[in-house]
Amino acid sequence: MHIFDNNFREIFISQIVSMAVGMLAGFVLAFYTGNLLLLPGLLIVLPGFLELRGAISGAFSSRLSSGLFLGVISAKTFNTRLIRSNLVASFVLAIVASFVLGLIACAFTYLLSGIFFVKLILIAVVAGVIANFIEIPLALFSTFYLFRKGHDPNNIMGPFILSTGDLVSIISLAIAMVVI
Amino acid sequence: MNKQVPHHVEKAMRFEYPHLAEHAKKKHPISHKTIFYMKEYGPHSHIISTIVLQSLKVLLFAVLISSFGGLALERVKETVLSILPFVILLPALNDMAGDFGSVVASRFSAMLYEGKIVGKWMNNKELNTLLFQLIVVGVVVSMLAAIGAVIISQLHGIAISPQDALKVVGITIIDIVVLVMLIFLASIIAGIYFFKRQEDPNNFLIPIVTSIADVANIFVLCALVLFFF
Repeated sequence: MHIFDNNFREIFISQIVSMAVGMLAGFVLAFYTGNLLLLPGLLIVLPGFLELRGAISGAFSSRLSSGLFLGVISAKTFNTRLIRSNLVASFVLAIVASFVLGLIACAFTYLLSGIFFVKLILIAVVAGVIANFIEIPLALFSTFYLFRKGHDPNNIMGPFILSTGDLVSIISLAIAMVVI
Repeated sequence: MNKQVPHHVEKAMRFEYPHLAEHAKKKHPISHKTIFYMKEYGPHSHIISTIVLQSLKVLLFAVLISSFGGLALERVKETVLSILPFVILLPALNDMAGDFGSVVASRFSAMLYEGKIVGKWMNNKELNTLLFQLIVVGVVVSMLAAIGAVIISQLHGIAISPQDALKVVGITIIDIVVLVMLIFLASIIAGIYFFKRQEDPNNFLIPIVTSIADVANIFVLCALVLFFF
């Protein structure tokens, strides 16, 4: 079996794109290193927060794709019970998971440095809501757009959501840091 | 000649009776996936609670696991944050770890189903090819990213000595190679375990392997940074 086959090319190209977007997110993060150093526990939140975006929006997009392919969701309209419920569920998940993430980070910070930094919970929840407000409509419109254009959203939305999710998460975290 | 469809089957087909879905499936050529989707998200199910209850456990597990990675990062934050290229690389490396985890997990699940994993998995040609492909992609892409991060840092006004720049590139490459090995090991062990238990590895491997990859990435990176700087 040849190493430099089609699979290699696909993985390589997707990784180059993913790495470029990831570095853009890192570049935004670099502007806030001062805040990261000053605010205790923020780095505990960071990996979980990046993970959440992909998990919530990725699953949201995947459910929509399944529904579209099965014909249960119409590609012509967004205003259906199934889509509305999915939107509400994604926000509920984002708020609950961000709250738990903030709580865990708060507890770890207390154990690590003896500082009880409650604002960490607020930062996580506010950033989670902001990120969802950007990422969920992006996932919804992209999934529908790809489906209408005759593509399989499952093949494209996974890497797309993961990469844009990192960028959106870091921007949202930065906004939440500045606001709170 | 058209066969008369019983009224209750018709209703079940319209998903007015979700509990009759299985019966409808037997009477009509309807896929299991459709039946499953309608059972979960049909007119008689509470979609929000179905999604929230099913997803929350996995999400909270992922949050908890990732927080341990964050804890490791927090402990060495002065060192890591003082080297700007690592701040730039952090989300990208995390992304790559997750991507590799999902590629290996889904490909290994497919190989298990296709019966390609027989005998010693170490001698499996397809698996070895995938391992080499990911190592080559990982080394090339991470090297390019590390060089890019060093250049961006220089442009940002942070002077980095050639020795430190080499260390950044070296650490990034070692991190990715170690991660690919870990991802393979985790996918194979967990994949064979779930397959032997007659459970679908697709449902478990991707969340487990990507969580392990994310956390391992931070631990390996922190350890390497502390060792070299």
